[in-house]
Amino acid sequence: MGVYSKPVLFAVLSAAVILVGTVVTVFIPMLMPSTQPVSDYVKPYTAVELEGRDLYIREGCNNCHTQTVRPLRTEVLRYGEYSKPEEFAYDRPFLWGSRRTGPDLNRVGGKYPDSWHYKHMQSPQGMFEKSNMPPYGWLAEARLDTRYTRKKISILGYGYSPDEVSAQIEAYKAKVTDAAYESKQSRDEVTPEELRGELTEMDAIIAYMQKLGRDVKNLEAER
Amino acid sequence: MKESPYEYQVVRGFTFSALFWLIVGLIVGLWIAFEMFYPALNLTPWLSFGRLRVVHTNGLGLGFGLAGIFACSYYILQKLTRTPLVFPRLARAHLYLFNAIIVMAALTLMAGMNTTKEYAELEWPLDIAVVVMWVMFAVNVFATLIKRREKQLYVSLWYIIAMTVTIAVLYIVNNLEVPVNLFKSYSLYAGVNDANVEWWYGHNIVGFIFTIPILAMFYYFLPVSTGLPLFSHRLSIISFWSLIFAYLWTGAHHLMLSPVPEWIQTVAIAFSIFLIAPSWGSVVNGYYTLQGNWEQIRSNYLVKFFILGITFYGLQTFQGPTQGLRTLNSFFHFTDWVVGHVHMGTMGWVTLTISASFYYMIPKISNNQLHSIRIANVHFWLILVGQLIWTVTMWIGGIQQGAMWKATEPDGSLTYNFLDALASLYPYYKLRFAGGVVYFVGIVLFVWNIIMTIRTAKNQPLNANKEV
Amino acid sequence: MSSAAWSYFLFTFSLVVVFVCIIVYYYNPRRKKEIEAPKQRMLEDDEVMPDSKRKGGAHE
Repeated sequence: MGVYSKPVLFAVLSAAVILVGTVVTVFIPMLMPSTQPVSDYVKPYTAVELEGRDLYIREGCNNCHTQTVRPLRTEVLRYGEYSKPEEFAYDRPFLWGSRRTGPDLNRVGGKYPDSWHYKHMQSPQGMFEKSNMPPYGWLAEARLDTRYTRKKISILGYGYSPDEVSAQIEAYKAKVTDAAYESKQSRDEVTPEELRGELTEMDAIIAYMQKLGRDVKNLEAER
Repeated sequence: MKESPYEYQVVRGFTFSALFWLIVGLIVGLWIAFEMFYPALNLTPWLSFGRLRVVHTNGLGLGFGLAGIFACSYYILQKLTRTPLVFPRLARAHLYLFNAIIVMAALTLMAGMNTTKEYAELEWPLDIAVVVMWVMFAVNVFATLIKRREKQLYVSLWYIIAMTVTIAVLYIVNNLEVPVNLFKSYSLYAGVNDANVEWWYGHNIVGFIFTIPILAMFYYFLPVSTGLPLFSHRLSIISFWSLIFAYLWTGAHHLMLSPVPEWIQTVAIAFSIFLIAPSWGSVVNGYYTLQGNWEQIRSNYLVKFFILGITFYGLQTFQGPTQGLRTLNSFFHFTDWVVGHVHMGTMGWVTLTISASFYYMIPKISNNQLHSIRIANVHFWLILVGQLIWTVTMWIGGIQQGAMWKATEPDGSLTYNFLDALASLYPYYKLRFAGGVVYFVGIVLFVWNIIMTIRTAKNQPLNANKEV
Repeated sequence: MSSAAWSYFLFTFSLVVVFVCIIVYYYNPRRKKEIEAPKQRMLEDDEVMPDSKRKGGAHE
């Protein structure tokens, strides 16, 4: 009975059968630029934001937080403008998530001041008694590792020169360690004394939080 | 096992591995279930929910699930081809590499080395090890098939071939990444494409690990443990080809209302609905196999595992496509409903079928009788009840959560803030944990029963032909 | 109908045709005996040693 007594032919036929749907729904869209459009208003992550994003990945934040606002009335009311494909052009990997134990974060940038995030990361339960988010105080106790930042930026093709990467890191460090930093008090409360003059992992993940949805909000403000 | 020319040592090795990772994965599962309503349990970075959840999913999906599949595949392959494994040493190396990978997976995930792509979280060096391991398995599968002494390939072998081929394609395409260093890499794809590739993979890894090889077990172990021939071989042919064809189109039903192109979502919905047909083809085939012999569900303790298992498969493959419909998806997606859905498949269909397969297979390869049918029956009822408490709780919680997210006041403003909806779920999370404990006790009995069967084998007279 | 609708229709229709052809082929009564044979074969000789027929038994 033909193919049912020829295992190699059977395997080839199976491969062909599974590849039809794969080619049509995955490979062909990948070759169409319209699947992942690129727009000028969406800016790549800065060096510190990217390091923050990698910490978001390391801690598995995507297991509880989504980053896609769906075009539904109550969702737009709760989070803001729904997510557009061009916003994700620089996202490798994507971080849309699949489960909302915590709220969506795609529009969290600019929603709260840095001080809010420092306090909340340190003790979510201190801010919201009924929250079940793990506390992330340890992020403030670790110096941000920037040894690979230049290599990461070059792999991702964000187009910054090595000097620009260093300048971005120094600029952000200068911002959060400045005596006039508006969230200085909260930052000092969570950061051990010896790291207050350094960039910590907490600083970076908060920089990333503030980037999420910022370009869309800037575009809205311009209009 | 000098008595049999078949290679059973590796079957036993994978059985032990499956049982070990099952216990580990469930303990981690209980731990994170507790963290969901008692966040103080996030004691250290490596015990925090975000890192531990992937240890749970990988530990059970890849550790328990794959080990069970390898054990049963090596057994079924030899039986249905009437040929010993061609490369038994390679199979044993496969066993060691497999366990080394799972150990490294658990450690690296707890250390936060994680690509975030669901069910493909392992970093690139481990991805390479997984591919090597898969090739080792495939070499034995195809070598044994080519050398076989039985002309026709029975259904179970088609499913094993399809799994071997498809998992290789899925795993390699989704895990293409650019390394930064040994512990960190970036996906080759960006944004929408990365999402589309990931859920094509994510959905089909469920299909080709939690469906297709489990169907291979079902199609083999149900007839041999009842002595009843399969109802219809030709129905299984239709089911097989339409299942493996349609499965690959449906990944985007995980990305409903997302920025993924709308036509991909629509095509995914259509094929998801179509998938009910081949799935229920297998359900019908299972039920009708027992036609006229339903008294076996009482007299043969294994039948209820298989029949309840395939029933959950039928429910699962109906619930899944309905969740994919845009209207229902906009309500259920991102809620605990989906978590309940997944666990009906894994705790119901997959575990019931693997349990029964082990109960049949282990006494056979040990020349022994099962340690205790009574314990097996208690195991059955505990994991059934535990799973039902677990899943029904999550469905109710999911409906409540979805309703609270969508509730609006007459003036159009939102009724509840996000935290209201989360806090209302804590009673369900506690009940879910209780269901998990019941289930876990059942699994401990299962593991005990299998270990005792193997341990007492040496003391028993050899009576291989005696039916259980 | 738009061209997109037509292409969806033609694609679906051709899949239905393939599906029907497969069913008609395998459910042809002439092939029944041959197609259904493996389900009986897999129940036979479950514990027979595979070498016993050829080499006169592999028992030790």
